[in-house]
Amino acid sequence: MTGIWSSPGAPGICNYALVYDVHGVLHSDGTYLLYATYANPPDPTHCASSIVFSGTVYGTGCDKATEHFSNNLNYQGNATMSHVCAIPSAESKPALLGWGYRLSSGPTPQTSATFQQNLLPYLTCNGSNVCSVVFGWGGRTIMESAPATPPGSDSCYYPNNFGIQPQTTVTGGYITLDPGVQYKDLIGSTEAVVLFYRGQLNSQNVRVPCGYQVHQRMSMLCSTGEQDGVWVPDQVLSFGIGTTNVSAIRGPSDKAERYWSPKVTSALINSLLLEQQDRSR
Amino acid sequence: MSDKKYGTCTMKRRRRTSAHCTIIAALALVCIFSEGSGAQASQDKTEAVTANSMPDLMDELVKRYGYIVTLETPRYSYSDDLEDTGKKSVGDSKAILQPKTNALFLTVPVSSTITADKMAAVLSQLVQKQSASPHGGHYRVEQDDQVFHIIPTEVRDRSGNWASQKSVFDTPVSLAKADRSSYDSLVLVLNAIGEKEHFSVRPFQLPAMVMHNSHSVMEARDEPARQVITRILSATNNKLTWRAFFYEPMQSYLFSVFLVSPSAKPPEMRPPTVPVSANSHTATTPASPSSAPPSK
Repeated sequence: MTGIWSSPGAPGICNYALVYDVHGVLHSDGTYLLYATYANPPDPTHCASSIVFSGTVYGTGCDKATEHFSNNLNYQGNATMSHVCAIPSAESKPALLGWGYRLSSGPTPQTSATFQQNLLPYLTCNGSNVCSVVFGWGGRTIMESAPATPPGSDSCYYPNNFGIQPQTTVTGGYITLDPGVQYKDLIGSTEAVVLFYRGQLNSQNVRVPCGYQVHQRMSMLCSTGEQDGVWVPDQVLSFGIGTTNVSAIRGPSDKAERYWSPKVTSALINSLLLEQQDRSR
Repeated sequence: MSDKKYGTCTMKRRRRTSAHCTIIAALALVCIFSEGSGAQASQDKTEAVTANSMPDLMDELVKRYGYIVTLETPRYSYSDDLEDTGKKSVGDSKAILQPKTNALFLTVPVSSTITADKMAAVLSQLVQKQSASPHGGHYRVEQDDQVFHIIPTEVRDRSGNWASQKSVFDTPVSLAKADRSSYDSLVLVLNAIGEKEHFSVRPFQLPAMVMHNSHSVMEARDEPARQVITRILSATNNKLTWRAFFYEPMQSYLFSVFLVSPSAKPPEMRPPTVPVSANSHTATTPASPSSAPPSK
């Protein structure tokens, strides 16, 4: 981590405004250690040539920090720092990572498409409009919610007493980014839902071809009292279930489609039935 | 928990209580009791809520009060507990066997902010009402701090006789200690239940983005599956609840997870404790980190 620190000076002690070169490290737990240096200060007995800053970044917006400083003139103290709550300006076009993409250790449903997108870097710009600092977003919390638009639609749903709910809004919720600038979104359903609407769970109600469309709003949380930042105000997510295929679209992404055939589902159902028979023996 | 705390549309609670009942729809009757004045009176006001089924009524309670309430339905086998809704729902002639539902109504606090004890009382009332219904199972309520579980205890067998039924989520499961996504941890628990019981538990409707992006170190040693699932969902830092419906044609439970309250934000990150320096030069009002110590 490198940068500069502008000191306004201390009237009556160090009467100079100085710009220090800064380098150091910010750890994933929010603690930091920074070294600020000014090679030849104009008044070396009152103006420090080196300062060490340490502390912890905190706040939902990662926009506050504790600070302990000590300098080569044997002066030290505590203070706090704050910054405007940074938010992404936009995100990159969603890229399809795959169907049933293995996000960590376990397999994800073959009927969900995983899209990945980058939060576009946040740049700090000086008065001359020269932009230099790129933000990492690790530790920040993003929220998926439904925008204040008409709800989506679900042509697969039919009234039932199995607790299956129509998918007319995004599922929503919070994610803490860990670390970096990317996050993943899954568009789709579990295999059981696809089988259910294909009427292949014991030849019941056939609803395909059908699908759902929902509206999605993406925002990043700031600390209490600060407005959360929205970088995707409203985009449409779509999922389609056909007799032999499934498809997914996330906002401006290209349509992702895959063949998930009756043959595949038959094999799955057979394995389920065999599993049950084994258990009942 | 005491039923005395709650009035009903047909009962007077105390002398000073007056009931104002307004019919707002053919099926909905709202009763508002007012009593005394001040904050306590506001908390004591009650009204009636009604829904076409226990799950629907539970949804309403979760929406109103924001508590996490999970629900597991029993495995029905008695013909009078099931109905063919094929024609009714889609005009299809195929048989679609679904659990029969009963309209239920409860008397609940008007205030949306109620204590966990009051929530327990409301849910206790819910399972009592369900038990008195002509169709469906018997349930109990289990409280785990701020989380409530509605658990089936009895259901009628094929002959119509009441028989006890063990919840599959009481099954003890183990998870090797590892950092996994919430989705992976959940699926491992559901699979572990399926390996020990005669019935599979299959993930159904899930908040995919949250469950795949959040991860935590999770471990379990012969713990009831219900407790482990509660821990997994809690570790996402989202207020999530779950439902497990027994799907008779597949002889499996369909397990869904829903967000309780989209507006409930995760806790604010608080500042760490700042160590106090013992150095004599530490300033209470620092001049500037770039200066020498201020003169005394």
